[in-house]
Amino acid sequence: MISCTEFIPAYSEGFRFIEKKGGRAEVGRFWDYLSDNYLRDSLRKLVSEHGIRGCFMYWEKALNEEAADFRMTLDEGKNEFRIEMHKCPSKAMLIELDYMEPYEEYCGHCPAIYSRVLEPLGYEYSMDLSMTGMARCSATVTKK
Amino acid sequence: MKVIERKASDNKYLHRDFHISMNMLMDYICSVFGENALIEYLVEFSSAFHAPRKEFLIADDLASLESYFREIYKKEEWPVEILMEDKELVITQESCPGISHIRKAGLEPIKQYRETYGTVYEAMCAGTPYEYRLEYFDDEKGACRQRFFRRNMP
Repeated sequence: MISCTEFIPAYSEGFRFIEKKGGRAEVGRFWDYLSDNYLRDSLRKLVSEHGIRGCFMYWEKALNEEAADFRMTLDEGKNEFRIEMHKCPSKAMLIELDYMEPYEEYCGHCPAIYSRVLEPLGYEYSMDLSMTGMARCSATVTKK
Repeated sequence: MKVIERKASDNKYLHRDFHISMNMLMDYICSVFGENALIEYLVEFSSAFHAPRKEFLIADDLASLESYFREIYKKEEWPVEILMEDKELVITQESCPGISHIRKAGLEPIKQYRETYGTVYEAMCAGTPYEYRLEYFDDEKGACRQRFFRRNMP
C-alpha cells in the first residue's frame, strides 16, 4: 500500500524516475497530463463556474486537508487571489525525510500544473519559489 | 475580502485525493514506458522510502514494522487487522483505502494496482531475513492478506 500520507515521497521519486527514463521534457509532459486530468473536474470547473472565487474554494479544501500552514486571501474587487505558504506540507515532508533526496525541481510542478489550467480561463498564475528550501512560497492569481 | 489563516496543527493530514494522483502517476509510467517500468519505479521508490523499515528487518525488529503499519492505517483512518506472533506479521484488510477512494471518485484503479503492495514490500524485504507474501488480493476492493515472515519458515 502507498498511503495517501506517503504519497509525496512517491511523487518526488516518480518525477525522478520519469526524468531518468525520458529526460526533463518528459517530466513536463507528465505535469501537463496531471493538470489536464487531475484538475479538470476540480480547479478548472470551480474557476469556470465561480471565477476567481473558485481558486479560494479549491485551495481551501486542498490546503486544509494537507494540513498546510498558510494565509489565503481573496479580493474579488481586485480579482486577485493569493496564498502565502508559511510551511508547505509537501516540501516540508521531503526536507524532513533526510535519508531521501527530493527531486531537484519538485516545487516546479505547482506553477506547471496550475498555470496550465488558469491561463486559458483568463487568469495569470505567478509564484515566488525563492524560499522553497525552507518549504515557503507564495502564489498569486490575477485576472489578465 | 476573504482571508483564511491556518497553522499545520489546525488540521489533520489526510488528503485522500493523493490516491488519485498516485494512480495517475502509475498510469502514466505504464502508458509511456511500459509495465516493467512501473515495477522498476516501485522498486526504486521502496528502496528509497522504506530504507528505515528495511533496517528494522535486517535487525530482526519486526515489532517496529508492526508499529509502522499500525500508525499508517491509523493515519489513513482505515480498518485493518494486524496480528503479530512469533516472528510473523499478518495484515488483513477488507478493502484498500486507495482503491476505495479512486472508485468513489468514479475512476478506475490501474490493473497493476496490487503492485503497490506486492512489489513495494517484496523490495523492502529483499536482502533481509524476512520474506513478504501477498496471499490474496481482490482487485475490485483491495481486500487482501499480507504476511511478513522469516525466510526459514514454511
